[in-house]
Amino acid sequence: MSPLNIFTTRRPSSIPALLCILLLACSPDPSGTGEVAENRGEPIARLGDQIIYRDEVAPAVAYQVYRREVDIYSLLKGETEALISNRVLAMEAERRKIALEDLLRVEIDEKVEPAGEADVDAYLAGHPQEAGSGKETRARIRYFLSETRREERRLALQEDLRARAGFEFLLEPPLAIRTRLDVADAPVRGPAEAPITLVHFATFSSPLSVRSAGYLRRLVEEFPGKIRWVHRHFLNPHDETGLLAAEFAVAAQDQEVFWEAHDALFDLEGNLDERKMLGVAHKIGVDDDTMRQVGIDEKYLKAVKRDIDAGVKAGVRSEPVVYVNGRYFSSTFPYERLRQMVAEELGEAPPSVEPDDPLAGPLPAPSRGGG
Amino acid sequence: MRKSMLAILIALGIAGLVVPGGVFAKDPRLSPKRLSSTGDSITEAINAEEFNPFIFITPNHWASWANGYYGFWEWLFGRTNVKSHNQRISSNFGSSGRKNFMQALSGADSFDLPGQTAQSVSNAATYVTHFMGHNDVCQGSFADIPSDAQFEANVRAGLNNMKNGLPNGATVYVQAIVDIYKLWQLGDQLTSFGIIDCRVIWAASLFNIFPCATMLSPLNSEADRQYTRSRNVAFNTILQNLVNEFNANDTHHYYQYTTVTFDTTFTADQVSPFDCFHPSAKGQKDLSAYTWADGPFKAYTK
Repeated sequence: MSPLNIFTTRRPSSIPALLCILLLACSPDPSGTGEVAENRGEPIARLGDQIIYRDEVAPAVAYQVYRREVDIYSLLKGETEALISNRVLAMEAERRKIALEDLLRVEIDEKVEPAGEADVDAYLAGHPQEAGSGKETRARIRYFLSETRREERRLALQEDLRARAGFEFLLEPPLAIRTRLDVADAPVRGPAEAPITLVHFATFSSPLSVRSAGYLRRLVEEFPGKIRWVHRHFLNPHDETGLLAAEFAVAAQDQEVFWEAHDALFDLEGNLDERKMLGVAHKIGVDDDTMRQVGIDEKYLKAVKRDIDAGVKAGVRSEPVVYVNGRYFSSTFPYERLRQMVAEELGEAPPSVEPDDPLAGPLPAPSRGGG
Repeated sequence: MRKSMLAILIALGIAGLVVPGGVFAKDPRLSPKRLSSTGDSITEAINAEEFNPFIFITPNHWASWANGYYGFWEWLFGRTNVKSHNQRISSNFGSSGRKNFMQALSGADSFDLPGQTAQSVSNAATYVTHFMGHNDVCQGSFADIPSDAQFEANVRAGLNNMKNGLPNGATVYVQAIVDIYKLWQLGDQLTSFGIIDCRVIWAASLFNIFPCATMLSPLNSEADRQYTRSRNVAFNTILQNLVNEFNANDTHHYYQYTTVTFDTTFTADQVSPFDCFHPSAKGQKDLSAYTWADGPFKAYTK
């Protein structure tokens, strides 16, 4: 089986793009040819006279890079908003020629009515479970209601001042990106020419992976003939039952009954033990001699380790994760979001998620095929 | 008389029982070889590196910023070496006479502090870490967040226990409550960027399966979250004031407070990939580094 490489170029977010521009502006042409390697991204290393380009390296760790870009973006956005909130209040106080404390008093304290007993009664009517919290309940709720009124007023004031001052956050959010996954020797089912390849990093022992396997089954039913399903093992540390099940699945793969084992194990809904695994082995025809080697023969362990290493490199931190043509999908999200992603890849659905969501919309088409 | 006292102190210092550089108005500071941590799920390192989806709350004590350890089994299973305060103490002061007591318990709040500190006293701890108050801010409902007076009374009772019972020269190191609002912001971002659906995980707070509905509930408005943050800030002010008061009035013990835990803005790799809330092993490692660097033994850098 040949490796399946799924990758594409990506529109860089503002931060790395800026760094790239600066680097290129400061550096001589590293190839010495004057040629801009448009299709391979920027040069990032040199080995003698060979140039290593970004796209030779980045797709394998694309999701890990994306996570860090999200961190940088979030830090800068949070810090900017805190700065702006303070600055617009100071600007308004200056405009009115009063102290900041006076502005807050006039605009918040004097405009907010403290909560009274009737407000507490109304709150408790809507939250009867809180009525029995203790003798201090009413006083705490009155304080909570008064303070949240002040907060609402403060937030509204800041929002109004920000809008009037023309605040706009200019950094582009980082874009979701495709990861190149090497799935050589991994079990695959579905048509080889299917337009969608789903790589499922999962363990048979976890209810979360059971749920995501259910997602994939639904997709296969909803998009017949269009899905290619690749399984890769990814375990939580110290999950000995999951490890044994994964090794058993590798043994089943050797005997060409992997998917029978896969489906039977997931049908157990995460409630695994050795006895149940033996039952599955007998049902699908894995012989007892082989089963005696599971957990002992290191070739099974090596195969599982190879999958875990691949997952870590691709950015998987906990199971389950699905890659849709290289696009990361955490199975903590609902099925509809995964379905939307598949439909986008097939060109069957317009982007339907929130406009500020960087996952919205299909990614740019791959710039070149994998190999 | 003074010379003989100095000689005793030097001798104790050489023996590793006294930390040099103490203030002479107080009893000489004892080496922190007997560590006792008070606290909650953060100090227990819940869901930091390993997670059991069947029980949802999984203690990872090896990854605790305070009491964490790293030995053969941690190495074998590739766990994170967090370089906890416990490990730093052994590196800097030697392993002879070392004791490492974890009194922190998931779900504990300031009402549990008198009990936990009583345990620290019975441990004869020479160094107590106090990282508590998250579950006071993080409640199932806003009505359950204690008043300032109640919180102060609880913490004061805990500090009084230590004042009256810890060996003379012991150190109490109090960490500010983490800025829970920043954790909510981070989880919200992780959800927006398709990394993990923290909002779905946190929805369990509606049913008290997951803590901190007062910050994480999907029903909260921004004003609700800001209210909770204001309680977070108020409790930290109380902690700081109490530490200052005890340090000024208790000549037998040392008290220190740090805001570094509140000031830290956590990033994605510093929070648990399982619950978007507790520190990950990386977060615990960073917490250890930050608090040690701002703590009473920061001069000891190994």
